[in-house]
Amino acid sequence: MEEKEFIELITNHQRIIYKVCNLYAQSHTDKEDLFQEITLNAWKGIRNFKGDSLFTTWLYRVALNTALTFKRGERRQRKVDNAVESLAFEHERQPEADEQLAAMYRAINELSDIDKALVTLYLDDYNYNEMGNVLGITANNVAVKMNRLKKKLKEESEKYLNNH
Amino acid sequence: MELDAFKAQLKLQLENNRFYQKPDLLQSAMLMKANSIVKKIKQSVVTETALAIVASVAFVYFALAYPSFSFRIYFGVFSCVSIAFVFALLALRIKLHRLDGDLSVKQNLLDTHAVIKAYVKHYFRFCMILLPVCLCMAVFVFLFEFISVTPNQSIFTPYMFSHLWLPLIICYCLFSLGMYFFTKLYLQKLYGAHLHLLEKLIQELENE
Repeated sequence: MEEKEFIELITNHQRIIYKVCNLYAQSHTDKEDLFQEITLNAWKGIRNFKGDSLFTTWLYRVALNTALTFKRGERRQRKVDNAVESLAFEHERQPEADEQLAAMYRAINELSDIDKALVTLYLDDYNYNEMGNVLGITANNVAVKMNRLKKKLKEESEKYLNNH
Repeated sequence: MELDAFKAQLKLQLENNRFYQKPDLLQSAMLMKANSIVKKIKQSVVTETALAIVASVAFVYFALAYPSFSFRIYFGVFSCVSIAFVFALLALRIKLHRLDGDLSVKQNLLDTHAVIKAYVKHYFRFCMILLPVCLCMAVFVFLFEFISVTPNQSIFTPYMFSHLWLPLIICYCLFSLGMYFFTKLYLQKLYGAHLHLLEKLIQELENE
């Protein structure tokens, strides 16, 4: 695949990378680093993409695989210092007006890395089979985990709302 | 709030927010150097393989061309060790290449864990194997080159034992013990936390 073609493809699907960055990295600098790392891994791995699955599913795999093994807090040498400064992470720029949404965001942020991956895929309309494919577990296992997660998120977000 | 209600609200919100990223910034990101632990191990393996090949060639050359017999043995032993090291590194490279494939999250975690563990094991074993090899070869060269022991001369007399072997054995034991703990600590510091994190993630995925 040509570089131009890849950039166009990633530009069209970059919200996936943003979502993963926002969930898995806490500081702004870590988010920038993770964004670059995912883009780089996607570029290096694009030749392995045979089209057996949707491009979005493949990109989620790359993004989650990178995020889960990402070494946080270690600064890299930057070649594009000024350019990366302008990266826009949406929920940082627009703080949630809705308290309930904010409570849910907070509850999701406090989940473990694997649970965050499940929630990310679920929020993007993936069914349990597709989620299982991305994560490498059975649809049954996904269903059990999701039931537990939904309950946990409801409790945690309500707890947060009651305390504030 | 239920997760499904959140999902619906989020969708509405996302429809109003457009994500944007200038293509030239993406292009710059594609030129960056990778930062992950696996990428660092990959780079180390490539460098170590190149160095091991150069060392093997040099050792083989000296083993064949050096005038002194004891030094020829010395370089011969080290050429065997470095050639074995080249093969171990090539096997590790094959494992590392598997990680470039289109893997599921669980398989990627399992493979990453296996590769880091194999690298740590190989590094530790290599350090431990080198200890007796280096000592034996140093003693061998010392005896035959610097104090000129002849094959008829006994090197196991009581005098040699108290003045050469005993201090040598004590020094070797102390040095080996120090190296054993230092290598373990060094590897634990470099990769221990990451391996532990990967194990935790794999276990979490497997649990129902």
